[in-house]
Amino acid sequence: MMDKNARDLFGYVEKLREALASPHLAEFDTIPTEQAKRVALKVAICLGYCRLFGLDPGEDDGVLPVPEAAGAAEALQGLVVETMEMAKEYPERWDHAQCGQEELDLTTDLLQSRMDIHAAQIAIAEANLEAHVFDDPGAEQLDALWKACEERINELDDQLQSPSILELLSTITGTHLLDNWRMLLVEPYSLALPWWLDGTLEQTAARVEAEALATMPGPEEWRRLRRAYVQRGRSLAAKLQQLPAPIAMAAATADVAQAETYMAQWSSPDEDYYARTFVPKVPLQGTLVEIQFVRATDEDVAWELAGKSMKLFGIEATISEAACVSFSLESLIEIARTKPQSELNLQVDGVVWEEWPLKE
Amino acid sequence: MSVLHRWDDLSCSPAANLDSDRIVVVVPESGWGHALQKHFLNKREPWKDVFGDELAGLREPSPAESVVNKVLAILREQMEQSLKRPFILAFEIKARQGRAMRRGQHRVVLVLPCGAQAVLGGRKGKYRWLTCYFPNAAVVEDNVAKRWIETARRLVSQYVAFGSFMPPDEKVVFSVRTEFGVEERWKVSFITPELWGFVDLNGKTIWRGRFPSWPEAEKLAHLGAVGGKRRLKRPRLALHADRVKG
Repeated sequence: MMDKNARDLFGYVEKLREALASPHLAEFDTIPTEQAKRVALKVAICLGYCRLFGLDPGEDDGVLPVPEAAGAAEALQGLVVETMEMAKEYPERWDHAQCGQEELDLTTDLLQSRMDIHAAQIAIAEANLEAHVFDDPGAEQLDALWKACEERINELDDQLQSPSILELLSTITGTHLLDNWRMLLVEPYSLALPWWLDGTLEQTAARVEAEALATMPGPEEWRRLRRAYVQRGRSLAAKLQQLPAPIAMAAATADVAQAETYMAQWSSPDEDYYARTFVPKVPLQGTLVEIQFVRATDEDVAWELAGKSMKLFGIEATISEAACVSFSLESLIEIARTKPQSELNLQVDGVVWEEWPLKE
Repeated sequence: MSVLHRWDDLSCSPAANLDSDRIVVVVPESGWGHALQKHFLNKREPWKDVFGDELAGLREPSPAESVVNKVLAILREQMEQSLKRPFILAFEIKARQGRAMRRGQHRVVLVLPCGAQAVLGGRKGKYRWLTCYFPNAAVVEDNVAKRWIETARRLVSQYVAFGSFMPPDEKVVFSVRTEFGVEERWKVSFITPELWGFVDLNGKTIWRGRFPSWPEAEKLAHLGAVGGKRRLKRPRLALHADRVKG
């Protein structure tokens, strides 16, 4: 027989066991603290996931007693408010994320929180129904708390489904997360999917992608923008003209010279290759500027360019076996200050490559 | 790029496939400022468990250099543990601007023993620190020693399809919309697979979700007092339904 809990990939049965072992739950025999209510919520979330994913908690299975369910409902309201706060900050935090993975994790945080709320809802609703049917002491209070919870959750869903947030949440469709949750759900929960799993996010992603493709500038526009930046002084030549005179090695620490750099880059007309170099912000005497040629597809060394002739600012050289060429920084600075702008380019086999705006 | 700090010799297992057993990581001012303001000082993220009393120093308008150095030393130690294990997720990205795909870059996501994850960008042994944060899944885990498991599970659930439970083939592309257009991630690689909970099953690598222990993370454990286990009520509705049926 297949182990039902082989599907417990997130360890919810173990987490339920741990939560039930918390000494804080004993507080429900008297007056529970906020900490006890949070533990009750954890029990509700784990129990809810067991129901959603068809996991067997074994001897730990059961229904939340009324006091614990009421405590969990109160703590759930707190979690909903916290998630609303997260949702409020989400667009601004997404905009300021440092990389795509961070954006993805901000989105996952919000959806995971909504999924946890969904799981807790199932366990608390189960306890509420049972308390109502058997007219348990405290049933009315639990029902009132449950209704208050549902109202809050509706407010949260309205917020999460506002167009601006929904569009950001839909970025998660680029990963397996939603499919994985759907895959783990068992009946009856897989038959009535919540809004974040019912295809809404996929539809939003498809619409945003279509709109973006229809309205975003094409490669020509990006090229025009790059040229404008370069012409406005974001070029290697312009930067070299502004650099201080190279200093002797003895006058500077190597750290200072090497750590802070400008990155210059050129692309071949067919955009199959890049030439790239890093120039220190504090130039040292005798520094060599190494131009590395790489393939645009995988950024690997463009060995096939070895042996071709190239020119940088008019200085001729041959691309080495390692697809790189070195120039004296002092020579480049000298030429940048004396030659006309039109000659300050990079050429391979006599063809001028397009310079990209210099990066700091 | 203004540099706040530079680690010239972070120890790294050759199995990490970062082209060197010592890597250089540059911490730019911008990356540090972001991590400080958006994460280290974010009250939701449990950095007190990592930085201890130094966190109070970071809250100062201009943190003292000694405090920053102590925090950097802690982060270095955490990153080295991850690199030496090695316990990282690596992938390459291409960013689409308009209709054109541009610029391949490497990304390395380090799962740290404390449960946070650090993201580096770069290649061939030279990397730039991009950010460092606790995903919410780790934040809600009270057991400090188990936060890394939640972080790892989260990354797996983003990049492994639970239909096959196999790690993505290196040709699989994840197209994720980002602030600057679509970012294509490929060559996604879980290093080292068995440490991520993958097992070899009849020659196939399958994710089973069982993580081997990580002694460095255990050192951070504060398991708390465990009392007698509370029991849930037997579901009377189910019992009642059985009686009616019977």
